[in-house]
Amino acid sequence: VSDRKNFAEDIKPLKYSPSPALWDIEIRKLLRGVRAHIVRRHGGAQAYIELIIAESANADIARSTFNEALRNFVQEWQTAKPENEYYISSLLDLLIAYTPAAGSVKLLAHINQWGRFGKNVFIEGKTSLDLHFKALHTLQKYFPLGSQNEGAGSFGLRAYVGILKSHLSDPAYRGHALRRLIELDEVTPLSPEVLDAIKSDIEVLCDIIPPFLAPIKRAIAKNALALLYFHGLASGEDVNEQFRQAAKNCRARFEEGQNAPIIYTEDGEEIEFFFTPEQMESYSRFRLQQTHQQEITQLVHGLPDQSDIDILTSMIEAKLGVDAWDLEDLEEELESHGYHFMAPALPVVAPAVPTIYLPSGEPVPLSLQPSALDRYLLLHFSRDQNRLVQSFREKIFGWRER
Amino acid sequence: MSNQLTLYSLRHSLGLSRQPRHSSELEELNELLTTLVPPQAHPYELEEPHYTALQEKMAYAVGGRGLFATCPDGDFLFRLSSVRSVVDNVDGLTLSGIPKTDGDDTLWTAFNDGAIPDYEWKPLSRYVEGHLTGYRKITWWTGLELTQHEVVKSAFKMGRYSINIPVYALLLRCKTDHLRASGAIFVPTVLDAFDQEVFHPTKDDETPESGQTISLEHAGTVAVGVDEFVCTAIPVDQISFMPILIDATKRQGHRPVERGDDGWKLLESYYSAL
Repeated sequence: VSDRKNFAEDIKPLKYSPSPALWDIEIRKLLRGVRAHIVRRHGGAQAYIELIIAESANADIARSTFNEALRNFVQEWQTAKPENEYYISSLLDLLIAYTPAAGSVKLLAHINQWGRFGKNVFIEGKTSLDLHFKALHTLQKYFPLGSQNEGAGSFGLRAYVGILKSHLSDPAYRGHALRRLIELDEVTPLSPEVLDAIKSDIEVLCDIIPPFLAPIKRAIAKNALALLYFHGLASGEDVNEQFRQAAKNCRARFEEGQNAPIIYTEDGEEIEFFFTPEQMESYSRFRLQQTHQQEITQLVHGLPDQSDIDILTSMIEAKLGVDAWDLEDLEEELESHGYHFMAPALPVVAPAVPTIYLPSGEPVPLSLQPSALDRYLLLHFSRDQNRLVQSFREKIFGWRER
Repeated sequence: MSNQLTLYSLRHSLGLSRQPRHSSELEELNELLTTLVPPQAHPYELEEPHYTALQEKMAYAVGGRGLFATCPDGDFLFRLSSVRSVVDNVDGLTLSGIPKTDGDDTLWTAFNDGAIPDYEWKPLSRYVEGHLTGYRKITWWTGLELTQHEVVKSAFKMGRYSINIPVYALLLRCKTDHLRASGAIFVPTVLDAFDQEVFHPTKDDETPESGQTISLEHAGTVAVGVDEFVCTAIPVDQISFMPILIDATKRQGHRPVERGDDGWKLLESYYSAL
C-alpha cells in the first residue's frame, strides 16, 4: 500500500514558504497526475495552481515563485521526450494559462520538425484528446494579434503564420488555421485560401465568421460577411445554416433580410451585409428558390394524401412556367426524400403522364393541365435529345478511333 | 492518531450498513483499491491512472442511483462550481469562439462578458448549450442559498475544505420546478461520495428526503450542515449563474476545519457517533 505523505502534509512547505524549487517539484507532481484528486474536482491544472496560490500564506510570493519555476521548467522541457497524454495535456494547460516565454518556441520548433504535436505521447485506452489541436490553441495565446513589425521580434510570428498556412490543406485544422490567419490579418475574405476552403467544406464558415463579429473588425464586417456569404452560396450548400450557427456561437442572431442578410450582435449592433446591385439580385433569386424548396419539403413530408398530391401537381405546373433548372431542383428535392419523379413512358407504352413514385414504390400519376403537360414534355424530351446527341457523338468518335 | 485510512474504514462500514442496496458495488470499488498500482489504502488521494481504473466500473462512472429526493420548498437549488467544471460538462460553448481549452481566467471573464462581475444572475443558456452534468454524470446541489457575500462560509457549511473551493467560480442555481417535474434529483449515495472524505451517509431505510452535509465552518468542531442532492443531466436553460472570484482576499477571515490530523479526528468522532 502506498506510504506517501498525505496531501495536507505534503503541501505545507509550499503553502508557507514557497520557492521555485518547491514549485518545480509540485509542477512535476501535478503533471504526473499525483494531484488528480484535487484537479479532477476542479477540472484542470490551472485551477489547481490557482488554488494553491490562493491558499498560500502569501499569495504574491507564491505566484512570483511559481512563475519563475514554470519558466525554468518550460525552458528545460525537451518536447521530443515521450511522456503520457495526461502529462502533456496538463503542461499545455499551464502554457495556455501562464504563457511562459519559452513555450511558444518549444511548440513551434516541435511542429516544424515533426509536423504534428503529440505523436510521441503514450496513450492508455481510449482518448478524445487531440493534443496537436490543443498545441495550436496554445500557440494562439502566444500570438493573439498580428504585427506590422518586420524586426527580429516578429520571427516567431512569421514561423507561426507559416505553420498555420501549412494546416490549410488538413481538413481537421483548416478552420482553426483560417480563423487565426484572419485574426492576424494574413488573409482576407478575398484571399484564394478562403475561397478554396469554403469550396471544400462549407462548415469552415463557422470558424471564420466570428472574427468579423468581434469589435475590432466591425468596420469591415459588412463587406467581409457579404463576400463570405457569396462564397458560401456558390458552394451550393446551406449557407444560411452556417451563418446562423456562427452567429449563435457569438450570441448574435442571423436573419435573412429582404435585401441582404443581417446579423444582430449581442451589443445591439445591426450588421446588414453590403451587396452590390448584382449580388442583391442573386440574393433575391436565391431566396425565392429557397422558399419554393421549403414549401416542397413541407409538402413531401405530408404525401401521399390526395390533397397534397394536388398541391404538388399545381406546384409543378407553376414551376414549368419558370425555368428548366427549376424543375431539376424539384426533382432533386423529391429524390432526397425517397420520391422519384419519372418521365412519362412513350405514348406507345401507356400511361403517358408524368408520375411520382412514392418511397413504397407505388406510382401516383400526376394530372397536369394540357399546357403544363406540353411544356413538361418539351423540357423532358429536349433534355433527352441532348443526351441522345451526346451518346451518338461518343459512339461516332469511338468508331472513328477504332 | 486519526488518519484517512481510519476514516475510510469507518465510512466503508457505515456505507454497508446504512445503504445496504449498494453493498456489492461498494465492495467492488473497495476491492479495486487493492489492485491499483501501487495499491491504495483509501480513495481520498488517488492519482490520475487510478481514476481511469475507477471509471471502468459502473458503480463509479455513473452516479445518481440513490433514492428519489424531495425537492425543498424554495424556488431554486444552488451549486458552487469551478468555471472549468461547467465548461467541460456541457455540450458546447457560445463564447464567441473561445475554445474549451482556453484558460480558466479567460473563460471566467467570458462568462462576465469581458467586464468585472455585476453579481447578477444570468441565464446559463446564453453562454453554453445542451445539458450540464459532471465527470461522473452527476452534479451536487444544495437548498442553501448561495450569495456572493456568503459563498465561502456557505461552502464550509456544504462540507468543503478550503482546498475544494474553486478560485474561478460560478454560482449556479437551478429551478426546482424543473427538478420536481423531471425527477432527476436523488439522495446522494455512498457510491456517489466514494472518493470524498467528508460525507454523511444517510440511512436508506429512513427514506430520507435529501442528503445532509457535514459543516466544516468552525475550526474545532464538525456539525450537521445543510441539505444536499445529486442531479443527473440538467438542461442549461433551467440554470442561471453568477461568476465570482474566490481569491486569497475573499478566503480571508474564516477559521474552518482544515484538512489534516485535526479535521480527521473530528470526522472520526462524527462518523463513530452515527
